[in-house]
Amino acid sequence: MGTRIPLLQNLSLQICRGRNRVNETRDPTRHAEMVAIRQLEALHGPRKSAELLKSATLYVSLEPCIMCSSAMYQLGIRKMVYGAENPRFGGVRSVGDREKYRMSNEIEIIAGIWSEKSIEMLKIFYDKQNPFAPPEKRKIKNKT
Amino acid sequence: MTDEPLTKIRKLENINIIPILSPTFTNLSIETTKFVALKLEDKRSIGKIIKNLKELPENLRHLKRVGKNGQILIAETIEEAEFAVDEEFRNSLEKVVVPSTKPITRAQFEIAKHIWPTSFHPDKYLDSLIDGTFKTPELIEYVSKWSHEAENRQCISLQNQEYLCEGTSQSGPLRHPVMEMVGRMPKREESSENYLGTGCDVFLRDEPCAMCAMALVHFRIKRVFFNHNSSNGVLESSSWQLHLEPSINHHYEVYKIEK
Repeated sequence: MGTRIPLLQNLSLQICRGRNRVNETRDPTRHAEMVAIRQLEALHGPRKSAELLKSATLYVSLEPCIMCSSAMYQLGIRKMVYGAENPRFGGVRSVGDREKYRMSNEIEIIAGIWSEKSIEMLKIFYDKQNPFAPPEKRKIKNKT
Repeated sequence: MTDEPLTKIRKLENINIIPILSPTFTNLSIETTKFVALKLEDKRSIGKIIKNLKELPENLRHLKRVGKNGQILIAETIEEAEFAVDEEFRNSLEKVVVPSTKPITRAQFEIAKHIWPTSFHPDKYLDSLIDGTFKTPELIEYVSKWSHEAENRQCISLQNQEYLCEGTSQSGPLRHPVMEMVGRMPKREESSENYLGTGCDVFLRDEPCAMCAMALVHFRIKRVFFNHNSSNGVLESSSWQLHLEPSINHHYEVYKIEK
């Protein structure tokens, strides 16, 4: 699930970038946000990356899922900017939220920008389908 | 060798496996509503009267038409009921209390049927979780062993009771035991039986945070067993209970282990 272009910015400096690698790695937790965090950790090591994240802004096409949103609260990033809301898995305010995660810190949220473009990108993403989904969960696409 | 059975018996007595279920299953206070019924002196006319009645409203189809002492459910309001029966019966109409939802568990059914007879389709597995009969000696032995292991190893996953992989918390952002474990999950052949973590049991020392609990959803695991509540846990009954969230498309079973 997820999103393709999250990047975390510290002031105006891009500190890392990720894209969804679930299908490629066959690991369903390799959402773009998680890929970006791992990239940052690989570049700067655990301590420095944790410090950089405290002042980071996440830019992402779709509202992060519950896993990724909870991660952002635990990392204590400063701001999240995303396009479309995700009513199925959205973890910022659609399905999960900060209170449900029992987190006390706030993240500034800017949502709904470039949402048309985000939805368009999502459609392309879902059209490709999840090749690892069991047959009964695969959506049959009727192109009439 | 002679010591072994004794150790086992001691372990079995010391562990309690508590399923964390939805309140809709554990709730025993049956909600009720009122409905107009007809009390007949002559029970022989029951069949004839029922034949001419409209079906029960859709939300009350779980109710049996005829109550314990031969009362017949007629309609929701007195006016409708008077219209539905012959004049001679109009003085025998009265409001009765009926369960407003269909009982899901046997325990709920046992209570509901004393209020008014209802239909019931038992879910044997769910009932076993509620009445405790799911705790077979084999399950107790299995859970006892792996929850004990999880106390030191933090997160262990198994499939068909066979060890798959494990994870412990590491220094670095988000390196929680579950995230370390899922990263080591063996990549399997593509088939419907082997979808990601399908059918897996995950034993945890600590109740997972929302990130880890959702990662386990993404892996489509079957059951989570945890030993201790966490301050940011999302499964125990006073928390969010992510495993019961209706908008999420996969739900795993959750058990708290008490020793």
